[in-house]
Amino acid sequence: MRVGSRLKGGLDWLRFHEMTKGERTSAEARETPTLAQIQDAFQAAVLGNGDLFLRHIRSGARADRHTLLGVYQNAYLARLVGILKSEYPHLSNYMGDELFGAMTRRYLTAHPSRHRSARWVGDRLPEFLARDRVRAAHPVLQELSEFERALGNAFDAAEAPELTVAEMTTVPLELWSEIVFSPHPSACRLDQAHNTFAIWQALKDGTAPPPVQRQSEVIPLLIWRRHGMPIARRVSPEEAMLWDEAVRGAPFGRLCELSAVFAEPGSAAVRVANVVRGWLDGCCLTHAGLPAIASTTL
Amino acid sequence: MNRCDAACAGDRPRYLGFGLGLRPQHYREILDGEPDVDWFEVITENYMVPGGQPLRMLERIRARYPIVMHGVSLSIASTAPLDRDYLRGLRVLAERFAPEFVSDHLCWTGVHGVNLHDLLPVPYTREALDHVSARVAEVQDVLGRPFALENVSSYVEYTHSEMTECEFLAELARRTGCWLVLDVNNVFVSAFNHGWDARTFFDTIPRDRVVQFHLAGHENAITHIIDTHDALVPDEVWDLYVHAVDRFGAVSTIIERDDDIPPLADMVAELSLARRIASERRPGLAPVS
Repeated sequence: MRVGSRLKGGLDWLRFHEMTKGERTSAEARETPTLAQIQDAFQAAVLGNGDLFLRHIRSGARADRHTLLGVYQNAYLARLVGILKSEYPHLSNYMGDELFGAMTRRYLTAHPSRHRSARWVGDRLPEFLARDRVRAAHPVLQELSEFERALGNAFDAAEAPELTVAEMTTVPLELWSEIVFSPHPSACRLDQAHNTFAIWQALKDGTAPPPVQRQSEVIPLLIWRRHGMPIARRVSPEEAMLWDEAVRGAPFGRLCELSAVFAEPGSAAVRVANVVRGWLDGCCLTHAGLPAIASTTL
Repeated sequence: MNRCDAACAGDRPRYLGFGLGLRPQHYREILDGEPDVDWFEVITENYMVPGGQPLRMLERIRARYPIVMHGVSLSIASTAPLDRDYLRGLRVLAERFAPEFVSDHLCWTGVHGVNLHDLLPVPYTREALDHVSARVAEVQDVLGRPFALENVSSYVEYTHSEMTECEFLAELARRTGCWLVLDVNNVFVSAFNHGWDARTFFDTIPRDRVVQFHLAGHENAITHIIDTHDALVPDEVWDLYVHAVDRFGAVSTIIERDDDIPPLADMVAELSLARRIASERRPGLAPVS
């Protein structure tokens, strides 16, 4: 394209021909936006921050430039809301398209994606919901989103070896009190103050979810991946406490002490052993070792 | 040295035959059956995850089929710095799965750290050409394997573009030695929206740089066409495919479906039409070994 065509409409031709070469270059520079300026304006237009970008584009063969820019603007929210819907399928089903769409648009305005992969676009949704106005009327939504995020994270969490019962039987008895456990990277613990798990289960089964009920005590859950698929299990308050302490590095002996305080002391060691056996059977653990020699695998 | 002469771009990727875009909905059918598919194109970002089923499935499918890694997030034309972490992840994934080549799009996806998750068009200026060329060279150096760029569907054209899209692509390929993926549907969509001739687009692209065709469907909104990749390949795109096969010959081809994914058998049936067209137009087309 010749320089004249870029200046056409923006400058007086007579004045243009009277310019020195330096002046022309300067005028051309003023008239021709840089790639960075174009991209700034385009992004701002897509995010709904002004229409300065319109000056940089032509109308199409059959549609005007407003319509054509609108394709990008409409597609942006539609695409990302669709992605969030697939990341939070039961939350979106529970809320319905209108409420979920409005909430996620507020989320995307507050948190434009900064992720290379669309997989992580909704990563902050539970924290957003904790503050969003919809939570006041529907406090269960934040828990539901947190639960679905945990399932999603378990699905593609890092691989790690699964610690087996057979491996643990080789541990000398005198070392048991000192050993610490490492959870599988997919494992996560949540506490729910409402009957959120039951609501999610009903949504998953395609049945009517029960009314929201605040629980007298929190419902502890353990979420992890087994055989390639995320699973969730409701655990007892004692098991939840033991898991949390084990993840923080408490050795088996300390878990027994804590268990003795938590419930009947005489059977504490047996209870902890049974809980650990459940974790091993469920493939929730990846490693056991001595804390003094952190890298030592038993 | 002209980058076309440099070894960094690698040898021309081999002809792969007729494939499909790999979608999770088809994992089981692919692994349980023997679908008449020569190869799969995988969306790179779907496998840039720490672990789990996506990577396990890809391992199993890769053991049986050649793959091409096709990304959507490189943002090669963005004025934001190249994302080094993303590039490293791309290289690691490519080293693990040994794709025939790695591809992405001639587009940008955002600036200032934001990702709009869209394939936004580039102004076809000398400045943009210099900028993209330099970044392609960087990507080639990091990957150390053949790298290709695909034309995107576009709805807007910039007032100050200095060349056409096909001239830009041709010059980019000449300068950098990168390969080209031509999405026949995208050419059709952009040509309709901007009022240029789709056949001229193909005729301007150098024959020796094209390593893959995409075939897909779209939605006609009367005054413009929206690229949806969620429908059967329409007749007008098949017509254009005939022209592309006539010009470029034996080029690896896939049908790319991104939404409303039908059963695998339906995709395979649609793919057989591409096979038939190619064999009719190019009777001597070499079978895939």
